[in-house]
Amino acid sequence: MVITDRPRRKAAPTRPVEAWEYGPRIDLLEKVTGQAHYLDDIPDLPGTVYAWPIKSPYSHARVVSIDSSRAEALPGVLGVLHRDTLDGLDPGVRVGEYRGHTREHGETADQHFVTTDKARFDGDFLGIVVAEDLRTAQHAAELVDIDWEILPTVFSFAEAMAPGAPLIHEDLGTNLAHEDSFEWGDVEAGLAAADRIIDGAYYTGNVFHHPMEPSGGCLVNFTDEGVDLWFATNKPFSPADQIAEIFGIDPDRVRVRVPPLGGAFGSKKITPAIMGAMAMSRRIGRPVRLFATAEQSFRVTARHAALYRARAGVTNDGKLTALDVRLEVDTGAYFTGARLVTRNMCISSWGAYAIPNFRVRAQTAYTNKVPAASFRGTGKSQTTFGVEALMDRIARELNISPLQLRLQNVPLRGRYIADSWKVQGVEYPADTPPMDADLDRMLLMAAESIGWDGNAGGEGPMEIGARRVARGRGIALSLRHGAQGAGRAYAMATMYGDGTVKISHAAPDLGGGTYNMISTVAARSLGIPQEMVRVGEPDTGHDLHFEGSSAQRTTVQMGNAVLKACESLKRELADGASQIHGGDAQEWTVADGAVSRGSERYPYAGIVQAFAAAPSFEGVVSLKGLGAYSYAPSPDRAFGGLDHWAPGAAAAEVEVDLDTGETRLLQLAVVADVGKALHYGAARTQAEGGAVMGIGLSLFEDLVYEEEQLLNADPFQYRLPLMRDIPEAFDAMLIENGDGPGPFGSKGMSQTSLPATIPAVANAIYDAIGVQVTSVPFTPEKVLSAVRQQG
Amino acid sequence: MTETLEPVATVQTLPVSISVNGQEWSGEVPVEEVLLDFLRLRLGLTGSKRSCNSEVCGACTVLVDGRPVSACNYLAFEAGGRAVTTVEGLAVDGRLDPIQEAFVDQVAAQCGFCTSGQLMATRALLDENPTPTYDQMAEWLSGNICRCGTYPAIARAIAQVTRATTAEHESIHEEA
Repeated sequence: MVITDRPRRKAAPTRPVEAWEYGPRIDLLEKVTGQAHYLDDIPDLPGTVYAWPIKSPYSHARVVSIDSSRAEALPGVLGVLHRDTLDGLDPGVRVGEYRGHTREHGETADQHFVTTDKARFDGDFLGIVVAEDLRTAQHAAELVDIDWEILPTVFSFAEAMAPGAPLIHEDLGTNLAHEDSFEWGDVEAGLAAADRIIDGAYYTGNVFHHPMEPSGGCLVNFTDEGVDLWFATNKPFSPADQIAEIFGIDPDRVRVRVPPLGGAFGSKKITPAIMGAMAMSRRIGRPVRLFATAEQSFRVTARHAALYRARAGVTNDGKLTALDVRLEVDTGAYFTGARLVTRNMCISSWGAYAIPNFRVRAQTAYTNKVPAASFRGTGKSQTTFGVEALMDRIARELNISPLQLRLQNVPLRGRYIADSWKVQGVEYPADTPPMDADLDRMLLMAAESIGWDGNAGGEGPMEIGARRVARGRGIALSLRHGAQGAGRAYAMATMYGDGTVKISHAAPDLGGGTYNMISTVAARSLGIPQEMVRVGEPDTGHDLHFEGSSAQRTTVQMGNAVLKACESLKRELADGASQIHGGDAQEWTVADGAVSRGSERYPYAGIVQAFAAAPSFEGVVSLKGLGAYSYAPSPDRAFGGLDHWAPGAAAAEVEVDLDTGETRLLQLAVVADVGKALHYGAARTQAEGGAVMGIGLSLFEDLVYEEEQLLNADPFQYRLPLMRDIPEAFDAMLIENGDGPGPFGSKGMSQTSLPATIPAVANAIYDAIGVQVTSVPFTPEKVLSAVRQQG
Repeated sequence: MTETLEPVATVQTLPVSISVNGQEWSGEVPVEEVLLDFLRLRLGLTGSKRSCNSEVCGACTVLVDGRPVSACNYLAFEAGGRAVTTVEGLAVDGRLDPIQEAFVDQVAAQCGFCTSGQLMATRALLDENPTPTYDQMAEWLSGNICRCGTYPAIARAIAQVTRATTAEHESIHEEA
């Protein structure tokens, strides 16, 4: 129903286009004409056959026997791989993006290539069928007879840690997977010094990333020469050593190519099923194609569920003296992202506030759920909801405005969080930059955008038509790390005889406009039109390492690598000019498409052509520059090297239907400090997109497990945000001070708006109905229950 | 990729003629072949995407006689005698449809996987109602899911086109 007095669209905030900013995002013309080729659009290789995975339908069940004889007898079936037909491969080789992380930290990645003993989640990988056509493969997978012994399940941290709980990994003797802690100052002293201690407990459930292009597909060709793998991933280098270990080949013989991705958000991982497709390609000597389905995609990975419990010490005038947090994290059936995500939760549990004494202790447990891993804003959407909901409880208890409480506790520009801290009990000097953003200004911008003075006090109950509603407003901050850790990024710039430049790299474009960023940086550095720059597709065959497009690091790390590659190419052009036209290389200036010395001026292309034309070269010549970038190696085990803060602010106005519990957004404003937008439209759309995802996570999204299964693993039952859920009054504002460590002053910004949006919505509901809903998502059932509690 | 279309078991086929982006296609199609497979695998028109495969997400939206349908759950033979328009047919003689231009201008696509469906649904909307309100466009496009969350940008893109339409009407009016 249309509400007549709903806020309308405001003038879209924008800024003038600067001279160096180029035209459309370079990938969009292909995307709007249907010419962009995603994984499933790549043509088959000659002789390609089709795979269908065999997956557990149960969340916890012992595999008594597997009989694939009926499947193998089906005409068109070329083979079945499962624990009894492994061609001598070791099923225990561990598979997963985080294997490297965990090995390095002395922990055990434990998702095996093929499950042999039992299924630990609904979707656990048992094997794969390959056939001449897809339908036959799918039908044959259904004909694989498996005898199961159903085992009791655990679907929450509490169940997993209860005495006598069924064990998911019996060899460990416990369901406790991991523990972590992080602290600075003296929390007990800080709490003792407080006038009041205010506590809260906030739960965030499991959700699925749900990229529109399902996760988990591939096209693979295993030959005597090695493995050619095309798959949609953000981390092309991650699987090579696992493939090498499973198949006993040299990692250099694994070549991964990555087409444009149809979204990722943390879900596009190497999977056991992809390894299975590879094993079958090896067995039958033909390329194998595995199409990912939406239902299978839901079973690749998920976001960790977590309970955030905290006690805050505050003075009567609203200064935080201490924060003591406990986290109960549910990592699902395998370790996968447990270390990384638990650590990210720990280092974000203090939110975005100056707190003299802070402590967090985390426990992470196995459950019989889809193994959880990175999710946009990894670990931080859970903790940001916790700390920001707690801030509103403090504001209400102290009778201070939610905006004022935040303004008087944010760290101002230039302030350090702490001098040193303890990670798992060991003290380290703190190695994070001082606050490099204006959090107070961001809060004020967000509040102002929704026309709010920041004081609590919702409107209502009131009648709108036949409905009884209440309205409220809320605000929140999030603080992501910037381009944290992850080694060095490499890029190569190649200039051809026609003056065009190709950038080679391994940074997949997940949708945020990475290729356009690369192209913009290169064109601006070389002073040539963007049309003269081509951006290659990620290909590990080039040996240009990059950890991957994740953790909002791509603009800073890959962008700087591209900048340095272009600077190196410029030096190469100066060298070339000196060889061809004489003089010392230092005498030549390389800028704006030409190499010049005094009155001499040669276009770039002329230098390359002069080489090619020389009899001694006999042919085509290209000049190359290599660039590398990383943050300086850091001993900091908490943040692992962090070169800037990446804050986001959000303010929301909601309307709650007091009879149905349904919440709708009336206004939403988000603010991101992007340093410098390298493409204003792309940055704004990305800031908006994170907020839209935040609306879905706030109000609808939840994976439901019952009895033995994951119940709602399809987009019909799993409710995603739709256009009608998005308020017309929606502002995304970008702060551009040009002060970031990325090219031209840019910062990471892709994950800033999502974590702030969820608590902004939560706090707006609190403002509207006077009771906190302490569990995400804020479904009508939970909101109505809170309304009734209020009476 | 024709291999995927030939199941091992013999299936019944039907003769059909379908106009796809203005070109006639005539031949036999299996009765159970969906329009999305027909377009993607038989004709190589891969702009229409398979995502949910259950008529929920809209990534496979194409126009059949001008009406948006989910090609993943629409049988190819049902399109017999009808005109199918896909994203590949939106641009005419190399000239982008105004809605395609507006999507580029407003960055109304990020990963782009849902984009062809969004464009086709938007085209159908504007053909039916050239100047929709925000609520009308939001309602119409709620069958097309965008996980990158480009909905505000899509709204701006549509506004860009409708502003042009309104301006055109006004200039015609002035001339009259």
